Amino acid sequence: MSRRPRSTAPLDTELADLPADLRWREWMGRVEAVIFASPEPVTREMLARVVGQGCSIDLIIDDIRDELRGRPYELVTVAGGWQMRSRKSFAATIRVATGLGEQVKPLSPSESLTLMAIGYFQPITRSELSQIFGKEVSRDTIGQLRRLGFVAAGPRSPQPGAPYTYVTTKTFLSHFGFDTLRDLPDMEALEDAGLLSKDRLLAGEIPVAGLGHSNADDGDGHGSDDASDNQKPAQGRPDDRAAPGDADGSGAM
Amino acid sequence: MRKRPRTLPDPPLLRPPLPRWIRASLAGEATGGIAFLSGAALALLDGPARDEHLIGSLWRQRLALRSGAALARLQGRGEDEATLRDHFYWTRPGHDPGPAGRLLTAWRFLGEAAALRSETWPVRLPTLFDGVGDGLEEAIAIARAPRTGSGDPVAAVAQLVKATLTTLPRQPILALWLADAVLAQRLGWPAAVPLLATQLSRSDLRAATHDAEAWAGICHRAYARAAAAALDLHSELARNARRLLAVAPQLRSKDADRMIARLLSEDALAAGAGPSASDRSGRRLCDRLVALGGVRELTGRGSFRLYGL
Repeated sequence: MSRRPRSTAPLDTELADLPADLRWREWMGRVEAVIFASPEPVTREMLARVVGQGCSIDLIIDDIRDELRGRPYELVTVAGGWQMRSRKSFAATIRVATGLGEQVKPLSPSESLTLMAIGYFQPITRSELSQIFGKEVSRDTIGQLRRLGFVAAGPRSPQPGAPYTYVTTKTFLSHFGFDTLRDLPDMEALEDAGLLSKDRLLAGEIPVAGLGHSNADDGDGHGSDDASDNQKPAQGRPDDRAAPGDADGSGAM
Repeated sequence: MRKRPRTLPDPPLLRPPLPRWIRASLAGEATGGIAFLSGAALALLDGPARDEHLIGSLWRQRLALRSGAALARLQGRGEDEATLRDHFYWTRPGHDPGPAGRLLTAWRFLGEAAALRSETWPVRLPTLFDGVGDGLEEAIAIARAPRTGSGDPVAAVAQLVKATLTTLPRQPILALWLADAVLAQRLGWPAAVPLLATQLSRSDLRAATHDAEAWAGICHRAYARAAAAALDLHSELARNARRLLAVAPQLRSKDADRMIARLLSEDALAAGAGPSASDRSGRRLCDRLVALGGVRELTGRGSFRLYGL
């Protein structure tokens, strides 16, 4: 079998020979195609490779969004990039059609609680997590979260044994529909209350019962809600947009 | 036995200290003439900022560390300078240093000469700051605009922060990063010096968008204080560097000269194997430097130690 020869000429990004409006259409097409073809959020850096120097990616994105108005899918800003996702209102439809919802196991309560704690207090080691919860956080829980790609190894902690700390990943942001970590529910409220300090928490300066209560109430509440609701749709496919609206809505106290 | 040739850098210049009248005026609450004070302090900073000695990089990294800790505080996170340093230095290549570590990475990059090349900003900044998606180009266009023209650079930077925060209200950190970069461009420094973020409180930042009259004064005050602190830090580092270079000839380890050069240019170093010396020899060298008073151990721990000036 012979392969079709690939053209080796570099992509013409400037398109100087086209009139301005056709050039713009071409750039829009390219950006949309790149985002459409990518399973992950596409960064600005990647898009900059296919359009000309003077081209404003923000404006291109705006124009594409305008065109997609009324379509069942949309272009969302997520995890510091852009991605095509089917609109949230079609989640149930997609679930029925594909049957994917039943196959994928939702995060267990302890997994979603652990993920929530890593999200707020990262970078954090397993033993520190255990200390916060007052019970052992098992390796399996962390392992499952790592397998799903929600957490990754961060800096090593300068303690005996140099354990790895854990941090959340872009996949985590993208799956739950957050743009940045600052979109986590109640981030601002926790900041203002000074509750985001891992050291203070571990030093026992923050009464654990109080923290357990307030955090478990809203953190656990949406943590597990988010997780289990959003987990049902396909794990690998970004079809069903995770529910940032839900999280935000209940998060804004 | 033939002696190995030594290659030690020259000791850094000792700069004149901050004049007492600036320090006295900064300690007071006087708001009148604050622009004059910030101008005087920034002019004094010109020497250290243009100096090409190795400690310039160390100096900027330490200031980046201060900025990082100040911003972590501003965000309500608990990380102090020591924690930020741990996050940064104990991250294996390819791993993620976490949100606070990424903050420090961004501010250390600010101190590099490459950070001032604004053509690369559209590509570099999204990798440095979380969630700079929509609206970045507009912010960069604003940052590029006020560079031309004469006038008060600090006032121009205050304008820039205000405009950036109006475009990207959720990115105060990016706004402060751009502020220091643009100030360095306007003052013609070869690399930016992280200043503004170290001296701003939350309420100061709120004034940027809510209290236009106060904001320029706040920026002047912040730059005056930050420049005074940076000047003090530079003289301290220059003195420490001279002390290190004074004890350096007593060291006989093969890697000593290379180690000295790295200690002069890098915020902190973990003891370890060098190209021609073993891990153990590297540790002994660091211990000996501490014993001779050339460097400090920065963490106060018995293990996972970091050494620096």
